[in-house]
Amino acid sequence: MQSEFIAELIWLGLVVAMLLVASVSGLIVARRHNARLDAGERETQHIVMTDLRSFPGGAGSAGATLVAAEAVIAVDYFRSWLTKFVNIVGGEAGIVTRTAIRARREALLRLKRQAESQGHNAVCNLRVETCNIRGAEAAKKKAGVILITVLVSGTAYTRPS
Amino acid sequence: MILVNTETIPGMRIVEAKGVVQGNTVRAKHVGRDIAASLKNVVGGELKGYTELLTEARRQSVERMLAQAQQLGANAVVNVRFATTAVTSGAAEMYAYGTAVVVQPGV
Repeated sequence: MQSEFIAELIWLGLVVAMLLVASVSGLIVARRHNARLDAGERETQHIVMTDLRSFPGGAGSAGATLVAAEAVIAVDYFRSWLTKFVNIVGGEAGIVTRTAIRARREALLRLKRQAESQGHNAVCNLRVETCNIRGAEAAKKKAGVILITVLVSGTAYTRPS
Repeated sequence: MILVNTETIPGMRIVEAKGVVQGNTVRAKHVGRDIAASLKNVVGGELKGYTELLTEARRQSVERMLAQAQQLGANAVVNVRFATTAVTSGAAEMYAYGTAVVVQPGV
C-alpha cells in the first residue's frame, strides 16, 4: 500500500518536473526567437511591405516576382496544457496569441529576406494564411500541443530609391 | 516564366489570357520527422521538419502549375494564390493556382 503511494508520488513528481522543464525551456526558446526576430527586422527594415494590389512607388519597375515563405511554431507542452484551463473559463489565451505573432513575424521576415536575396526592396499584395498540417487529429482536439502554421506570399519588386 | 500574385506586372502588358492553371501535391514526412517534431513540441519553438514539408509542397505545386502554363504557351502566371487542405496527421495538401497569360514589354 505504502509502496504504491510512493510510486504514485514519484510519478507525479516526474510529471511536474517535466512540465517545469518544458515551461522554462519554452520561455528561453521564445525569448531567443524574439531577439532573433528583432535583429532580423532591423536588418530588413528598408524593405517596404504592403498588402496593396498595385505596386506603390514602383509602377514601372521590371523583374517583379512571386515570393512565399512558411513557418510552423509550437507552443510548449506546459503552456498548451495551461491553455485547456483558459478554455474552461474563457478569455484570451495570451501564450497562443504571442506564439501566433512570432510565427507570423518569422514567416514575414523570411519573405523579406527572399525579396532581398533577389535584389528587390519592396513587397506588395501581401497575403497571410494559416494552414492545418495535422488534419483530423487537431480537429478532434486529440492533439496535445498547439501548432501555429503560417504561409505568406507576395510579389517582390524594386522601388527606385 | 514570370510569376506574381498581383493582377498586373509592372512594365508588362497582358496581351492574351490563357486561363486558370493549377498544381497540387499532398506530401507527408517520414515517421522519424514526426517523432522529432513531437519531441520538439515539449519545449515549443519552430518545428523545422514541418516548415520544410510546407516549403517542399509549395515548390512542387508551383512547378506543376508552371508546367501547365508552359503547355498552354503562356509566359507568365498572374494572381497566384495558395490554398492548403488538412488531409491527415503529418501530411499537407498544397494547392497553387493562378491565371496563365502572355505578356509583352510595354504599359
